Amino acid sequence: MDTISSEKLGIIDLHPDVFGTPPRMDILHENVVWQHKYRYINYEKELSKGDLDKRRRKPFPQKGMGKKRAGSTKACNWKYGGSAHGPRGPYSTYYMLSKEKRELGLRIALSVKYAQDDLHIVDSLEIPSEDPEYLQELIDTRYWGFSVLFVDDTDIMPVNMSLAASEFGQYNLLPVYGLNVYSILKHQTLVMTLAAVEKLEQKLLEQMHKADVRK
Amino acid sequence: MAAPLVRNIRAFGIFGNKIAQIRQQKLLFLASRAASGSKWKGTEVDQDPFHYHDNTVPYFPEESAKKSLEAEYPDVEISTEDWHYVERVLPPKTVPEPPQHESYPTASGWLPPNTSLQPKEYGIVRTRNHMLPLYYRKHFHGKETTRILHIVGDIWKFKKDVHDYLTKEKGVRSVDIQVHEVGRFLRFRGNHLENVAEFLLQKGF
Repeated sequence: MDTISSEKLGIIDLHPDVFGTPPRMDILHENVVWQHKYRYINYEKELSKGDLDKRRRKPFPQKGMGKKRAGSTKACNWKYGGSAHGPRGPYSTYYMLSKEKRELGLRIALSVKYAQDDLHIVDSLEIPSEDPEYLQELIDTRYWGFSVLFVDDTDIMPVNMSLAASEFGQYNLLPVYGLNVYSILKHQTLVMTLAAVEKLEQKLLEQMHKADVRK
Repeated sequence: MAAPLVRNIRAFGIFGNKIAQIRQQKLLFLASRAASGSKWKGTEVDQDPFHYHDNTVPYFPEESAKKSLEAEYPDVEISTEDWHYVERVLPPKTVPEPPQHESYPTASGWLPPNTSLQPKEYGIVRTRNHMLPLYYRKHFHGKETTRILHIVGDIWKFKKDVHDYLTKEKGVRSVDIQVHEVGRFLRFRGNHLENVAEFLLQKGF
């Protein structure tokens, strides 16, 4: 990242279990839906009979008026009455996807990015200047597309990089522990540091070969 | 027009230092009551009503132990001599590699994968426990299925080879095989567990 145009620094081995998994759209979709739902709260609400601010007396006597028998004006068959089976209050749609599926989704997203040639590995995220135009020029010359996700192994990012990227909404920084399927799919390219790749590979392989798994 | 959702003002919660004030008043009240000894006998409040415990300050036993070590007369000693006994008891996080045996198959009938026998067109990834990814299931109504998972490479060639092995060499009259290209597995109708396992070991997987 020191120069605007890319330089080849070396060749690394990517583990085939992490970066070569067969793609499955259903797993990706499940992950994306889960990521939306587990933080979504439904605020739909309708007023029921008890919520109405109305008198609760009998509107008119039972007999002698030539009218229907009525107990209250709040019933659902009355005009300006409450709703019978409306949505009740804010409720959360939170649920947890299984660990295997989350991990598999991450592996699939990574291998899909890699297969589409949208995964780039750099030595570090440090750039010489904090000028946002420098970052823009760098991304344009390397054909990294309109949106880029930079991933590092720590959450303390380089100063120049964070200052430059803060000017744009489409260039984002993430630590390895925050990496997720939705962000990977939303950004056009994924740029990872070497340390981040090693850490991620180690974590995913550890999860794949875990001893105390129960099915 | 809706009625207020929270009728009791207390349900909103009490904010700020009002909690401390109320606590003080309560303790003073209890203390005065205990002193008079009218209603609640035996409830003596030894607590200081103005005592304040800061819960936000974290407690680190290790740090305090270090401090005592630096002191002139330390009361704690940190030693890691016997830790390997603990490590021996702890379960391993990941499944370890299988050990080198003198002869194969082992007493339990396990065989390691033989890379020299494996064909180039397709392959099978073993499970995390170094076993063949072969699964047999008997369904509720008596239907039997066998599955091979984690297939890599040309799945159709693999299916053809398994089919030929079962029909020609094992003399099975007819085999129904489902090929799931996306899920990377084969599903057989019926119980072909032993025959398929023989085929896979013969191919070196």
